[in-house]
Amino acid sequence: MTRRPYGSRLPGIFLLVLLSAGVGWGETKPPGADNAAMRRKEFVLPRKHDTGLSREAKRGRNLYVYYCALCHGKQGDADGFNATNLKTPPTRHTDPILMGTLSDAQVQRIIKEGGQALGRSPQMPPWGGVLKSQEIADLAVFIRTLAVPAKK
Amino acid sequence: MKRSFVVLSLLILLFLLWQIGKDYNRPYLSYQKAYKRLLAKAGEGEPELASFPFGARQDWIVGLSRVDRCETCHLGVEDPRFLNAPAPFRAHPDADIHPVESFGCTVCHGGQGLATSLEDAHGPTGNWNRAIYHENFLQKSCSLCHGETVGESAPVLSRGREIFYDWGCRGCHKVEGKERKKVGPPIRKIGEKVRVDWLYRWLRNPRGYLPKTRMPDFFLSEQEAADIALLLIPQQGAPGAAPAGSVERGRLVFNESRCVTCHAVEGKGGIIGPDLAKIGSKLRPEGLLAWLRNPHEVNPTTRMPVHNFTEQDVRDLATFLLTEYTDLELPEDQASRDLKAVSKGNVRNGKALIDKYGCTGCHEIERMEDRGENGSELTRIGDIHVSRLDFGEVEVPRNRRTVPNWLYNKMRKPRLFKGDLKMPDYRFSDEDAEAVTTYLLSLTAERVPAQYYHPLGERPSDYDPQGDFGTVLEKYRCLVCHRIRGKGGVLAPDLSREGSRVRKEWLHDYLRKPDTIRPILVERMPQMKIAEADIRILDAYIRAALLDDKVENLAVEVRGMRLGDPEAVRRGSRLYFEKYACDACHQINLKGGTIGPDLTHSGKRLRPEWVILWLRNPKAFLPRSVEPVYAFPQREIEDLAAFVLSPKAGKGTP
Repeated sequence: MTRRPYGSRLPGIFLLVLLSAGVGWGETKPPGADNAAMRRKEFVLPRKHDTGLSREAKRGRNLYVYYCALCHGKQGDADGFNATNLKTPPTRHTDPILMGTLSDAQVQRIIKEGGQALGRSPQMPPWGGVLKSQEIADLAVFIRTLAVPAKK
Repeated sequence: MKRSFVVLSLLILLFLLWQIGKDYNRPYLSYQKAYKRLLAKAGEGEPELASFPFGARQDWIVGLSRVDRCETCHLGVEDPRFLNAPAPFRAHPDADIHPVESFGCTVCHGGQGLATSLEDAHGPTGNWNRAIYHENFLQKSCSLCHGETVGESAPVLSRGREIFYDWGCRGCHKVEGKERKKVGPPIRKIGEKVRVDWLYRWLRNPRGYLPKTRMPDFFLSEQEAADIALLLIPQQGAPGAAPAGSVERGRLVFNESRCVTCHAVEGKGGIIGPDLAKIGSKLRPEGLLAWLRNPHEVNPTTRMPVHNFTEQDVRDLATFLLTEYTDLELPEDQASRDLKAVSKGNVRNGKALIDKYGCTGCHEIERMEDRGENGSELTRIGDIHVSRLDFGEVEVPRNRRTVPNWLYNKMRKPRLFKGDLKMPDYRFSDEDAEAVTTYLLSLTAERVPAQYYHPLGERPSDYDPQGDFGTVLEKYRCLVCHRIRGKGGVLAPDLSREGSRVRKEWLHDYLRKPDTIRPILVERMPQMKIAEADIRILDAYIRAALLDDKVENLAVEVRGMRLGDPEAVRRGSRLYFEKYACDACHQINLKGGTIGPDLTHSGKRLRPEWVILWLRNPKAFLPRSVEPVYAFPQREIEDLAAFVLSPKAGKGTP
């Protein structure tokens, strides 16, 4: 095989340089820039978990889910898994009219001393031996957040 | 000359005045003035207002060697009147538990305590690494004083710790003082158990087969998956003949053994074992038969108990599973296509890939047992300087470049920063990514002096029964669901004091054929056909060691009570149904609520001493019980116990 002089390759190399320059002309961004922009968008910052509840209500909600939701339901709709087993259905905490008839002191008293304290069903047990008075107050605050007053 | 002297003097005077003005108008003064106005609104007295001390304030926490000037602006932090005030004056919610004068602020919140301007104090600024922590990660600081196992007091930190060790992070990342645990099943003779075409699909996309698996996604290419599959199963003959059992009888065994306690089928059922909905497309018949005969021989670390199935049971169950639970969405020719793909694999590349991706971090793999951790060490990741973290191709503004933000994004998308990273994607939810980040941030070299150390939560238990009892516990994997002395699962009742609770005869019957005490549960005690000899070992240990003296000491007193008196039973019945409405939560003869256990057979099941103690104070026995504490008088306790223990013949009673 005979070696050709470089001179004969020169036009080809020149053409290649021209071509790659031409290709590069349209690209103002460095390679991978699109990728970087996409990734920049994917970088997220932690978001606050805002439930719109006060501190008392948040504590109350945890207690509610643990102790009350079994009958009264997680959202207070009186649809807990044990609700259908009760002779008297549990109070619906989402009912603004019904909840409007009870004062805060009465709500706390029912939680503390049971339904019988206000002549209601003994199926609502007294929680005074389990919950501290602060916890009962927290629960009452949370229960108030369940009933949304009807819009006028 | 004179003129220039005048100009210079004036310039110096101006400079002096400017400096005085700058010193007087500190940035925090505007906050202090706003706070004073708030104080006036809150009804603070005139004399206090007049003598309001303007100026920088600081708390010197000698014990923690910290000087925090945060109260210069966060003025209401210790004032309960400011609980709902706007920032920065809001009172600290836990000021009673964590008073500022004992702890300061930065030990938990981070930030630069000595700074008195917002930018410098909160950071990140300059080379200050400890920018104030976002509230989502704040529980990282609890472990400083309270230790790692804080339980419910710091749920985010606990969840992060749980994920870190249970999902296999420790397999690839060293953390000093923490034992490496391989959380995946060992890969030994895997070719006898699973089909190689399944393995290929699994490697490509684990969630395609098990949507809730802990196996992360490695984004393997077709070639990479083929390389690894061929290395793990170099040659696989045709699968053995399908077991010729009865599908119907297999279904019966499946239901009787209560497999759904641990295994879900299409998302319904327990979460201890894998979902079985597509098991027929995964296992070879001989692999399933061997597994059902004795799972511990195939995988010594599995959570599945030995069921003592008869050979007939094994065949029928296998037939049922292989015919009923196949992947219906899998195209018919997919298996043969996958087999062809695997045949193009390269064993040597497979080995290199296993080393690259660190499969040995979770799985014991034959002839590769010596591999160590291949990820970076995380013992002090919480202390790392942000300049040592590679943000790669992602452009992040300087004030967002913090260690927590980097870790959080790494958890959400492990390969976000660069294209050629090897950490797999666990598909964490935002909450779980936050939890793991929180745990990682808690891994620091920082230590508090002894007077601050106050461990909370349950210490890890070192309960590890030996001998016959230990062997039986292991055989039936009792501690997967039950807990004894702080060791074991929480799905089923704690057995630490079971000997004081239930009667001997009942326990025998129950272990032979477990019936249902809590009617609505999906997770019920599986039927394992526990051998008679094993029952005797369990019983002897429970009677001797799993006792509670509070119950045992009542024996004499209870013998003096007239619990069999029909009059007491009648009085107890009235208390039970009318006065206290116990039936709201407990069932008798299929009537009543389903929150507490069924009491129809409690006379056969419970020991009288235990019933008496429970009625006196349920929390003494089970602090997390939802049983209300009634404070019954002694008379009523005896009557109620008499009723609960009395035979209650009727519908539903055998």
